[in-house]
Amino acid sequence: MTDRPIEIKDLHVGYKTYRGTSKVLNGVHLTVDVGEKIGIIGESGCGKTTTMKTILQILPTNAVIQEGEVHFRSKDVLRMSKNELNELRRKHMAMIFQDPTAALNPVFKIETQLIDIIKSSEEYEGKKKEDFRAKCIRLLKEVALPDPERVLDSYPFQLSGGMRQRVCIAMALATPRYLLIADEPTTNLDVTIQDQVLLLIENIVEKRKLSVILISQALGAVKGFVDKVYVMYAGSTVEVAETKELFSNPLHPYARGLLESTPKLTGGGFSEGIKGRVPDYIDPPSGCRFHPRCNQVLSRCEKEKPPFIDIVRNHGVACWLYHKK
Amino acid sequence: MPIGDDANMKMKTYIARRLGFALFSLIGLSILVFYLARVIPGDPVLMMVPPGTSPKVIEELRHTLGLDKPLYQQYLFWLEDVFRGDLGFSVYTQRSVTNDVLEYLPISLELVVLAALMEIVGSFLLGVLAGMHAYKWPDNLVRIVSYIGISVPAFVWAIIFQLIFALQLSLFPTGGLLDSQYMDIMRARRVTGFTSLDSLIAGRFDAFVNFVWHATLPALALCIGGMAQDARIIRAGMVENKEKEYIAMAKSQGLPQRLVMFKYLLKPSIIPAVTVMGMDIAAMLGNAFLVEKVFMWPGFSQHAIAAMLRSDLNTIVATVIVIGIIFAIVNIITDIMVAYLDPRIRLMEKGE
Amino acid sequence: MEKIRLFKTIKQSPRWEYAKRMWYKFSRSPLSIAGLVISATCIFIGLFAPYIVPYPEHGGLFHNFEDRFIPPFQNSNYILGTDYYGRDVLTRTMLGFQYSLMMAVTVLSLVVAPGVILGLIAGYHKGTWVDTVIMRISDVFIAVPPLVLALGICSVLEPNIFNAMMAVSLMWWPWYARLTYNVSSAIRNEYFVQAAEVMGASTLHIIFKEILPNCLGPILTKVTLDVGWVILIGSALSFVGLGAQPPTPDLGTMVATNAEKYMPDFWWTSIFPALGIVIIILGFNLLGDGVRDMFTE
Repeated sequence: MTDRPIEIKDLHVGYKTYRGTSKVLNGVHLTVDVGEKIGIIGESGCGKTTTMKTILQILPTNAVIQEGEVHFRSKDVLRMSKNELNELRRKHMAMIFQDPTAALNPVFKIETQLIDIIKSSEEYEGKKKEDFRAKCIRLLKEVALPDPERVLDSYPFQLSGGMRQRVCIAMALATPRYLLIADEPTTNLDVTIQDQVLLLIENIVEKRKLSVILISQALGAVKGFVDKVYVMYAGSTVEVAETKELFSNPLHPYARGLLESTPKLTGGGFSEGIKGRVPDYIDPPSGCRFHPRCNQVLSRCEKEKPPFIDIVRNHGVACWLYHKK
Repeated sequence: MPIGDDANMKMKTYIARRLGFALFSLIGLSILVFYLARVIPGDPVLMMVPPGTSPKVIEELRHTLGLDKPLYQQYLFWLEDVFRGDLGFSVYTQRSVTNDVLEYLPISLELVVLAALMEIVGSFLLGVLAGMHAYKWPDNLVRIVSYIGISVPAFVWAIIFQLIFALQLSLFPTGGLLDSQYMDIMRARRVTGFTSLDSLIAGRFDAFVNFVWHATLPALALCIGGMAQDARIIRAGMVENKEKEYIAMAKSQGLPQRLVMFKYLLKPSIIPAVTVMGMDIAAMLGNAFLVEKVFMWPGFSQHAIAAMLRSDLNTIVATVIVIGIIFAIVNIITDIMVAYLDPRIRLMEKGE
Repeated sequence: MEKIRLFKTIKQSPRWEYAKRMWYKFSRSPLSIAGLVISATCIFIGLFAPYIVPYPEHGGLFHNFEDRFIPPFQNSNYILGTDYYGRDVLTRTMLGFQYSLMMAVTVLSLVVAPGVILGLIAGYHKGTWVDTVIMRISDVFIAVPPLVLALGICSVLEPNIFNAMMAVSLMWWPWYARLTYNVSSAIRNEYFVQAAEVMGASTLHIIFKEILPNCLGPILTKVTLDVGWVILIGSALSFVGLGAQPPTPDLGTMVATNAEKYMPDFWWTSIFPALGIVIIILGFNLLGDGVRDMFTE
């Protein structure tokens, strides 16, 4: 029995499509300790969002969880009853979605959507409408939205992208929770807004002492904020290490490629990046899914999937290169 | 400016725009039917007089009737009459067309209103049932029912219902508005012309029940196709929106299942169906022509067909215009409902 | 001019590959296949009815009172029974397919081209007076339910099947104008159209070579679905007595005249022609859904 908010072991999730099952998650490992700040990096389409949605059990209806375990405080989320699951969502975790435009219901006012969330937590039982509105305004002020009264009376399409994402953050904070999942919270925003929103999330996490999982393409943001970084490729965790260690000493060829492919403001021209792209999940490559793109491929990579092992303390990798012969 | 006033303004502009479009279409329609009725059938004066009338008499008659004026002037005179509520004289009933409209139209309208209510309730229930249980047996059942519902024309439904429920099983009357004993009572108690309302005003609840009993089969035949179609649209909307990020978001917040389904999922899902529902209800005005014939429903459509078969031009013109007006009203009500449900339409700068 | 086409939304794979992809998407639903089979059968019957029906002479003024009102499934000579004049119901229903399909083909071949062209012009000139004039005029024709206007037009003309076709055509084109307008006014602002404009392509080239190909999917879908709806309107006109007149073996006319006179006792004289209408509409509806699937990703 631990208090560990998240422990994912060897998670496999697929999506049923008309062409066959798309095997997106292919062995994800992820652990979040109390108060820990985790970052997940990887190309788009690597199954990061799917992993997060599995934690909260909000996968699309065509998703199938094939195997694996997702533990919340030693309880398997995948075997929870509806009530337990709802309690988990209500009291313990909140998610900020990638696209705030899609995450807000287009036909309800911000106030309606926010109040419904507040009402669902028993903390506010028996309070009046004015109390709810006051609470909403406090929340919107906390996420630094100007003119909260006006925002509350607006529909999502009347707000800018940055404002919408702030509203989503306010929703995630509406009731006290201690794990915040931020799924690329800035990808769909204007470049000028991205830093502000990220800074806001950082401040709130510090202030409320939350655990956090931050998924981001912006490696710079991850580097400066989180304690530990997971690298995912094609549905598998390929490497994990403490932030400093990972950025200075990436082991997996994919992680190296990913870190190199970020253009640096200091100049030095463009890096080569990684050739090819994320594979088709209906008929994925055998063995290590990265082998067709890998520049250090071994003959065994094609046949067997490398197990996830600790190379040194707190630095794990799934790659045959580091396997003791 | 406070946001509420702004929203009100936009809604008013939106409704005004719709009204403007409708008026424009109606004027266009009146030109079209005027042309149809006055030009295509040939010289109206020659049609009035017996063959062999002297040209001088014909010219005089032409002058008295104002038919020697240019066509656009004739149209304006005619339009003026229409605005005064004078739709001309019916050669079929030998009285003013306006009287005929006032007598028969309510009887058709109450049938359409009943059918519309049945359609709204029915499509809602079936659609939500199928949407909640997508890809399971209630969904498949609704799918089959709706394919049949769409493919069978209203008049075929009318014949089938009449054959099975009236002629074979004798559960419903084969046709007519009321049983004969109620017909006499209601004729004496005519206030609004709507049998249903008049029976309630007169306190004759038995007559009202008798009316509903007579109206059930024709109303069902009228609404079943649209009901099937709208149920499919609601179902499709729910299935599609279920995968939307905002539903995942609502769930992730731990909102109760009921709230997610019946508030956050249902409202966006019914908006497209409301538009189509409005169109289907408006189309009932056309299908009523066929269904009334099968069930001998003594309404406006039945009357109009009789007039059409006798080439009663004034009644034909009046029919198209009157139905056009009702059609426009139904469409505007639909637009307002959609705008009420969907803030994006209501509050966007232009009503595109 | 060929070079101007920077990129198109329709895939430029080899023709055979393209057809295979389309067929794959179409055939994914068994209902589409069913629709294809049903509508192909209907077309076959429509084309060859006079040669394959058991009693071609029953199509017109024929009588054989000895065989009148034979119920269906009892006499192997008349599987679907006979009517008041002793005419074979199966023969007349099959001949009815011919009239119905003729109606659909005539009306659609008259309305699709003008409707689509007007819609394209209005869509290309969206927001200008051209758009306003075309779309407001088309609004006039859809200001009443189609059946009502068709009835009105038919009633001032001589009631026969030719005038019924003309009446339906006159009020059907605006639906194509509207559909094409909605699609083309959206495509109009796509980058590939703007690119062609910038490169100085002629208006005609842009409308027909850039915009039109991208409207074909919805138009084709509508044409397929409309075969059923035109037949429905046509049979409805006949049903009230303003279309084809007896003894023409028109489905709507048969349903109406027989339902009125011989209903509960000789139901087959009316129900089987009605079933004919249902089968045509169902077939083309299912086919239309399949065509729609073909053009959606």
